[in-house]
Amino acid sequence: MTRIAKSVARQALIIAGVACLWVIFFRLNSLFFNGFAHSVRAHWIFLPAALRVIALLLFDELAVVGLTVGAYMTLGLSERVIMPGAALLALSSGVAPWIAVAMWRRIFHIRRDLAGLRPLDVVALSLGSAVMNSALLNLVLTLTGEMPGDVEQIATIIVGDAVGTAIVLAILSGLLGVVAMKAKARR
Amino acid sequence: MKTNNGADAPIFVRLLNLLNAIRGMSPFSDLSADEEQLLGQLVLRWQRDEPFTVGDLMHGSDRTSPSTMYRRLIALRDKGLANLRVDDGDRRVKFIEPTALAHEYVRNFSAHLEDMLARERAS
Repeated sequence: MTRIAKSVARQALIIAGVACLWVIFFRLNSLFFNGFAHSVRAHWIFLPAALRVIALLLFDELAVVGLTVGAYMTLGLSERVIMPGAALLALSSGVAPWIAVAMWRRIFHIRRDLAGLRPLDVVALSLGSAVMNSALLNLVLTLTGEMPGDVEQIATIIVGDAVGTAIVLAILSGLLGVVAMKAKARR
Repeated sequence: MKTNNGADAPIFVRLLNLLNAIRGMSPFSDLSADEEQLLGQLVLRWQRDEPFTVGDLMHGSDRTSPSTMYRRLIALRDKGLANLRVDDGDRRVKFIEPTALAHEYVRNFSAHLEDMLARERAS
């Protein structure tokens, strides 16, 4: 396999991995937090939102593609056929965190290798991504005439993304902390 | 390997930095040197099997102020290594007790020491 082919295969694997993780998180969210759905597109708890920031920080533009593919896959089949802006809607899921991360990087000079990344950066990026996602999603819905005039949906998406991200990050940080403590105790 | 802004850094470097930031959110982060020293003191007192209170600890050190000692103790409690049990008779009095994680810490520390001694004897 040539170097170019290897690189393409690696990139395809990252995109597919992010898309698959999105679908898994989406299904988990439906399984555990189905009762928190405000509408088909807005949830008061939305776990996949955590994947947006994490994937973006790790894989940059490849994550945008992976998140877009994943979001497209989790749109209902009827939505994909009937809705003219289905692809745009999916694209907004990948582009929103990309904008948030790009802005935060520029303002706070976050390195590409994430050296010196603080917990505060992760929290701020998650919130920024939630706000940006809500803005873009509702903009797409308005442009495609799908906006039901539901202002509460804007807030629901921000809160849902923020809470979903907080839950996933809390679980991750708790697990990492306990592992670190156990490792320390073993020394 | 290192380039401008770390753009060409391998993904595992980014992952480690990201995990480090996420881990920083956890209350169960690593012990500081002072906390480790205090944990050592607590372990010694627990070995004596005599109940002792937060007040005993705070006023038992000549070198560390009571407020600093209390802050370190709370850090150990938050990291799951000490439990503060309120006295049944006087709610102002709190006994410092080991947790399961503290027991594990001592067990592993002892096992590590015995292992070291065994290797020392064998060599």
